[in-house]
Amino acid sequence: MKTNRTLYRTLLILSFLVINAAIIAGVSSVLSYMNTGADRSAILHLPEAQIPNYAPQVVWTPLTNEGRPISSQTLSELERDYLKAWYVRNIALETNDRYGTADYYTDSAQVQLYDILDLNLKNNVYFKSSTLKHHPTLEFYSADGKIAVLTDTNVERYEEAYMDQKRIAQRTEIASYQVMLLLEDGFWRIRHLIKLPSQEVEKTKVSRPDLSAVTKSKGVNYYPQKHPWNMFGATFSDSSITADFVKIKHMDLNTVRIFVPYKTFGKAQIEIEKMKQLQHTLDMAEKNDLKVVLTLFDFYGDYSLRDWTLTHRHAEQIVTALKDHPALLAWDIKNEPDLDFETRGKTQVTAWLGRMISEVKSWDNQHPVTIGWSSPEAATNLAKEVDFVSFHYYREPDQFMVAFQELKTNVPDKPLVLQEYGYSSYDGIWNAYLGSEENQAEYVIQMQKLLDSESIPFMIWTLYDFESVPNSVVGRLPWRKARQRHFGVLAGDGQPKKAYSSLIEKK
Amino acid sequence: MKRGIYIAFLILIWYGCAPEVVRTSSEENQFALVSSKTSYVAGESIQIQFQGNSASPPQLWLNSAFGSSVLQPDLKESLLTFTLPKFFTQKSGECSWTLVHDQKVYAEGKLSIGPHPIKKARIASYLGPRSITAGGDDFTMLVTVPTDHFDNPLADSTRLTIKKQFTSTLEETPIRLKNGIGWTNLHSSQKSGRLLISASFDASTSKELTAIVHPAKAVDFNITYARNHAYADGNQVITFTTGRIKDEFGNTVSDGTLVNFLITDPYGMILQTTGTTINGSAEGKLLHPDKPSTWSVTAYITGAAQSNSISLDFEPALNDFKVSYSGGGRTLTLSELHSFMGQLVPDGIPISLEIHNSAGALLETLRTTSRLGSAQFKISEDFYPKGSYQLTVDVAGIRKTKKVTLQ
Repeated sequence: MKTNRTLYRTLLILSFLVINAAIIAGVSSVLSYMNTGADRSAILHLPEAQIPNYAPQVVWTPLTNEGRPISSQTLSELERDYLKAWYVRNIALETNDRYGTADYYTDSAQVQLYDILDLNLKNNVYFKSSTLKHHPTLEFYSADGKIAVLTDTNVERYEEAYMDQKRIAQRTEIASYQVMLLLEDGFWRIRHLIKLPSQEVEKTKVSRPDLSAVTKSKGVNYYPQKHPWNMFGATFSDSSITADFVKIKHMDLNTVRIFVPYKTFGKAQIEIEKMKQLQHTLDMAEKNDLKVVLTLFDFYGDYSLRDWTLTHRHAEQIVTALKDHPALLAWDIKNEPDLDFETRGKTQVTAWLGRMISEVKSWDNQHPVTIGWSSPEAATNLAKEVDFVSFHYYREPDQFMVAFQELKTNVPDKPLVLQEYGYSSYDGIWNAYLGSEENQAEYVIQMQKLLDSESIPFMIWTLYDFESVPNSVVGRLPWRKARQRHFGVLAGDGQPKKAYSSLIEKK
Repeated sequence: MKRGIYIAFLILIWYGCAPEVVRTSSEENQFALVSSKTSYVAGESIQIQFQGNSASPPQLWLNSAFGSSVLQPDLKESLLTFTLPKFFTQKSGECSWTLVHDQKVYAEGKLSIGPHPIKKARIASYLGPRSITAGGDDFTMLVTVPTDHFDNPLADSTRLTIKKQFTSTLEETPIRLKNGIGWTNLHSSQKSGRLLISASFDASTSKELTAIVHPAKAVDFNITYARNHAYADGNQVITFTTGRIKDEFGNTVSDGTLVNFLITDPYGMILQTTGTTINGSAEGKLLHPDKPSTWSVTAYITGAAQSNSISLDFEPALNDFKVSYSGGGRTLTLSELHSFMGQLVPDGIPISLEIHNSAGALLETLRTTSRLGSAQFKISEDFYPKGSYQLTVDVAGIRKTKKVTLQ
């Protein structure tokens, strides 16, 4: 009886506590919900920073226009509205919707555009397109500043045609346009647009980049131990990078592969601070007599046509800034883009890559260009376009030669680089304690033997064991992350693992 | 026999279930361009024809200035005919086409479509700025965009005539189109007025456009004044008037031109009044001073012109007045404030009383105004204890001083 009473009491007190805790939790979650929402600074209606959404290359010819001289401010406004006219029209032809066109085309020009949109809507046809290069010449600017005529010579335009939701063809077209724009209530609107035949272009000589350094490269895929996949920005530490470079040089390696993340570098508007850090990293590599393979567009995965010009501007700023750097060995356009074939479509990804290669070559024809394919099988893609073929290999060493020979038969005329290989020494619950440093060392020895015999340039994955791996790299699954943490030839504390000596011994 | 049937049956199943071999006929597809014409005039019907055969028809991908479209052919045996929609045939410029079939490009070509030369042209014309100044330096710009019936700008070097009418003269100037537009600068004349402009091409003409030629900057001018009398009574109004203000070409300046009249007096004051011109002449008005003065007057049109300086005197309106003391010297009464005809001065003449101590230092200035020809001051006991003071009264420049012992 007495125990019963004690039990009831205990239960009552417990339930009282639980109910109270639940009430407090409920009230606090309501309160915290009420505190979310619009930022208070929204009251001020401050103008938001403009993020460019369309940035084809625009090169004005020097101004010698008729009529009246134009100020640079007006010219930039004219350029802005002219490009937006292309942008809204690209979108209109993709969606067959008139949205936004009234702002950039006068009434009579709209009629001509709408005729096309209506027909395409009826036939279930649409186009994805983007202009890539503009070479406008201002022909005329009127005395009252209300009329401008320009000739846009050799506009490069990429277009994909779709019918009944299926792509039927794509093409790159070069054509010139004569454009008359009127300034109406603050917008430069297109009044006349005439397509002209393209003009002869002087063919630039295709210089073959020097590949001798590439064929001799022995290197490492590099991330600092403390901040893997997050090298630049506030976490940038030049002292630890220098120390690492000294270590790499000491291992008798001559190359590092470094990754430039697309989004954290500021997309189309590169952050100057991070650009300086990247430049500084190359300086440090130069001091330690190391060459650098720069992998662009890390963590990028869009490839859509609307994103093309933005990615071009991103690459343009990096390539033009670093193309004369003595430490630079090669441009790697993208790391393992074949993994995006399934989600983004092979044609879309390869179209983006192919275009990006020719863009990079147009800014820098001295350094070779490659793509870091995730397997030897995928590396045949775009083999004609790249200067040397890079592939990754994480499978068994005894199958390596077969895959390598097959790739070599498919691509006989270009150097092949094993851009990533490695083995995780992870030994824990997720692989039933079957891994070990010895296994890793053995793997490295076997691979090095093969690489030596064929004198294949290589870059091992990676220098250090890492403490944590971001979700964006291999996903959230703990067994994948655990494996990814232990690919280093040096342990997290900098002590050489067994694989280190097997890599050194080979040297 | 039975075995033979079995075998035949098995073979039938084998082949029946085998995947159907799809003949990818793309290598075999041949499309030969039949229509060879590549140069057209806007509005002309355009058909692009191919000779060829394929299981499914190819498509023609068109692109002209404003966008792209995809056409399906009309099939007649092995002749494929693509008929361009009229908004492609009516649009001048280049029109490119691509024959695609099964993700492959089979043929490419370009058509050039010229603007229609005969169909009635329309001339869009833009004129600006619409207000210019006389003298021949300033100009307005006429931009014309003649288009054909389908809104295509006419070909370059097409000849256009610009007509300009001003007063009794009519001028014609020929211009040639370049970059789709024809433009010319129309300079102002020496005379102000309205400039009427039009453009014409063949039988087509633009609408009438107007630019107004405003007079140029004013040149220096004269001023005069008018007043009822010369007395400084602080009551009458003096009027300053400019002569007809003109620009250097003899055009009367625009109505509403602002004229500032600046007046300096011997006491170091600067007075100002303004007026705007009507028919070239502006008026400025000001109240007479309340004490004798000599005004020097100059009028200005800011940044453009100024007038001659004139000088004028104001005589005293008040000759004398009486001051009486009462209440132990603490109440001052001013009376017999008479103006130039002996009449009472107008109400509101400013009067001041300066109180000095016996040492001659100024303690306070009291102010009042006249009413019905008299005025009164009271010196408060609270501020001024008994003793001797020096009091000075000032009315319209006449000062009277007296030593008083306040009780």
